[in-house]
Formats: sequence, structure tokens, C-alpha cells
Amino acid sequence: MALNIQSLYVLATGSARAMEQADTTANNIANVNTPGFKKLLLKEMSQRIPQNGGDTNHLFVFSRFEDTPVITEQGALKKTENRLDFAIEGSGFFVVKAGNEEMLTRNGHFFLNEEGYLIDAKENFVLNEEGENIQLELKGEFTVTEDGTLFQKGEVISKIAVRNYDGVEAVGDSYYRPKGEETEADFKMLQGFLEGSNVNALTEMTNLITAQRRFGIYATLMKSLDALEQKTNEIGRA
Amino acid sequence: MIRALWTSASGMQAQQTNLDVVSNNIANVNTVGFKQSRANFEDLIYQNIKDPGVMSSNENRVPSGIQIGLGVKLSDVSKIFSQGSLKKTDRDLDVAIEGKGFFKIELPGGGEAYTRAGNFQIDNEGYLVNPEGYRLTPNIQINAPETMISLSISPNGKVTVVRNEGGVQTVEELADIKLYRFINPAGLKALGQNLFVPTQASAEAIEGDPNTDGFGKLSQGFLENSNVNIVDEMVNLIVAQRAYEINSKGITTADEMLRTVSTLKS
Repeated sequence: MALNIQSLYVLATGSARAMEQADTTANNIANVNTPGFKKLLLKEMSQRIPQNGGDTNHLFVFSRFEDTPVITEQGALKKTENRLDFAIEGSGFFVVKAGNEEMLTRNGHFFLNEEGYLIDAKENFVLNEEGENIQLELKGEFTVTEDGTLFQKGEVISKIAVRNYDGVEAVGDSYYRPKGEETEADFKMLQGFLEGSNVNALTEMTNLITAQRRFGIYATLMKSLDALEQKTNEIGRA
Repeated sequence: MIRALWTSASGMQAQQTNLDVVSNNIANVNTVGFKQSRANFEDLIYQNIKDPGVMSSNENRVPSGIQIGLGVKLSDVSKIFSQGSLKKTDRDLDVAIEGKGFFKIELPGGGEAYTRAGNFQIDNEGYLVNPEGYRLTPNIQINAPETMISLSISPNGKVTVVRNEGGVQTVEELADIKLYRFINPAGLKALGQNLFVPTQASAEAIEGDPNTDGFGKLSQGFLENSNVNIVDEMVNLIVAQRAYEINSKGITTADEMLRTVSTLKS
């Protein structure tokens, strides 16, 4: 009896993981069209109950979360004709000052405020390599070179910061927070382009199907276990 | 319940907005001086789910920081002010701007708006007005329109009228057309009727003469077409539809999973 109930719990944790897989996939799919979005991967692992070590009859392996790394693979580039749209091709993130914190983003959809400062859609300042705000003259065109240097009227104004980290953590609003060591950014900056989301609809649809089927299989197994238990209860009754 | 249901719903909602914006662009593919809009999205907050303190093996504990995102939202809809193509109309009162400037229009009941649509007319008092009858500013008034033979507008905004007064041709110079520029035109607010009003994001208008400092030169007898690229918009339409569709699959999956749960206990 106890044995069968234990299996039920193991299957239930598996079902919970399948649900979280569906949640993660749904979030990736919802952001299939979000500029600079990086998909999340749900990593799972098996967890043994330590006390049962060695006893093969009671070797229950639970399915647990391990991590949800942000997959920083390149998204497709899209031409927008807007001189305030920037895209990074390669590794690295734009750096934005949000409150007191420096945030990373791959969404280079920027604006100029009334004083000529380069800001993002949340009105946070875009930073240059020295960690300062970037101010442009309000008249006159400006261009950005592949390494992120801003030119206006033939003069260097500033260099847009691009930083890269081992790992990042998603914050929402297109922002990421560094998690891990800073590493060299290898990139090309493009003006008049935006980076699309790196979500592959086909992969995500497959993940969705897997999550659903997996969930269904656990449910069937749980029902079978339940049926067995029922038989046990009925022994000796009739 | 399953988060995926609401997450996918937010995706469907976002794509619906995207579709609204794209349809409006397509509807205005032939509107004089129209500027296309684009919807931009960003991801919603992330929920940090922790499985605290469980042992992954005899020594290690599960690291925290498992994140599940909750969907997508609209961040902004911005106008793209690229130049539209020019169309020859041969009408004296059609003026196109080749450059970054805007005409200024006086709104009825006070206030000012800006437009790229240069399809002007003359009202009953001889003022140059837009098709809604709002006056161009600085006002340009043509006195005695019945004696006018022709009206010409030079690339730098000089308005000249040639008249026939009792068999004698005279030339009269009227006020100049001025143009206005914005630091950040993407921050302008569209009023409809091809009119835009400045906001804090666009900053105040800068006045200047046509054909100087990038304000743009005027071309009489031309109109600026909409800058909507129909091929791009059709592609955007397809993207929006497919994205909507796959988001709906997320909902179906979540629903199926819930159904499975409900049939667990027979």
C-alpha cells in the first residue's frame, strides 16, 4: 500500500514539472514577437531520496527543477528605418540605468528625451562605456559605427556600452540582470535595425506537445495505480 | 491553475494589438502624408520559484532562482517618420516636403498641430487651409482671389501670386511658408486627420525656413504619399496571425492538461 502511494507522489511531481514546462513554453511563445527577447530553458533533474540509497526496492526518483537559464542565442535582425533603433549582432547587452541599478537589455528601441539624452522606452538612460548618460545635440543627424561609437557632425560623441556576462537572469520589461562573471563582448552594432526574439516557434510547439503528452502519461499511470489500490480494497469483500 | 493559460492569453492580446496597428497602416496606404506606426512589445515580470532546501544529492542543495515568465505586454506604439514617395499632381496648392519638416496648422478653438500633408485649399476669406478648413500658420491670405492667375510656391517657402488687374499683370509676394522640426518626431502624438501634436517626448517645435538646415524643401505640384510599405505590412500581418495562432495552441494545451486533471479521479 505504502509503496503504491509513494509512486503516486513521484508521478505527481512529474506532472508538476510538465505543467511548468508548459508555463515556460507559453512564455516563450507569448514573446515570439518581442524585440530582444531571449528564451528560457527549463532544466530538470532527478532527485533521489537520500535515505533510500542502495535499497533498490525503495529507489524513488523525483523530478526536480534545476535551473532556468536564459538562452542568449542571436535573434533575427529586422530593418526598421528608424535611426534610433539599434541591434547587436553577436554577444553582449546594452546597459541601461534603471533607478540605481544598471540593467542589461538586447532591445535597442531607443528615444531621445527633450534634452537630447538617449533613453529607452521606459525612459531610463542608455549608458556609454564610462557608465555615463549619452547626450546628443538635438539638431543634426548622427550615425553609429559597428563598434558602437556615436558620431555627430563628424565628431565622436560617445561610445554605447555593450557588456557581456557568463549568465543573465530575466527581470521583465526586456531587462536582464547579470549573473556570473563579465566576459568579452564580441559584436557588431547596427543602426536602423532591431533584433527579433530568438524563440523558434517550431521548437516551442514541440515542447508544448511534449509537456501535454507527458502530463497525459503521468495521469494514465496514476489512474492505473489507483485502480490497483481499488482492487486491493475489494479483496475479500465479495 | 496553470499559468500557461494567462501567459498565452497575454500573447494573444499582444498580437491583437499588433494586428490593429498593422491594419491601420494598411488602411492608410494611400493617405497623403501618413506615417506608419509600429507596435513594440516587452516581456512581463518573471516569477521566481524556489524549491528551497531540498537535497539534490547527499551533499548538494538545489540552487534557487528558477524563473517562470508571465507573458508579454505592449511597450509603445511609435510612428516611423521616414520620407514617403512624392506623387505629381500638377495642382498649385499641393505642396510636398522633401526632408524632416512639418507644416503648422491652427486648430479651431486655439492650439496648434503639425502635418506632413500639403494638400491645401483656399477658404472663403482667401486663407490657405488644410482639407478640414484649419488655417496654415503663419497665415497666408490671398486677397481678391478672383484676379489671381497663378500662385507659386518656391522650394524655400516664398509664396507669390500673379494677378491680372484690368489687363495688367502684377506680381505680389505673400508671407513665407515656415516649416517646423522635432528633435524626436517619434514622440509626436497623432490626432488623426493627418495631424500631430507635440508631447514632452517630442519636445517643442523648432521653426525654420524650408530648404535650410534639413527642414526640407517644398515641391509645389506634388504630394507626399504614405510611407507605408505594403509588402512589409503584409509580412507583419502574417507574423501577427501566426503568432496569434501558436499562442492559442498554448491555451489549448493548458486546457487539455486541466481536462486530464479533472479525469484523474473517476
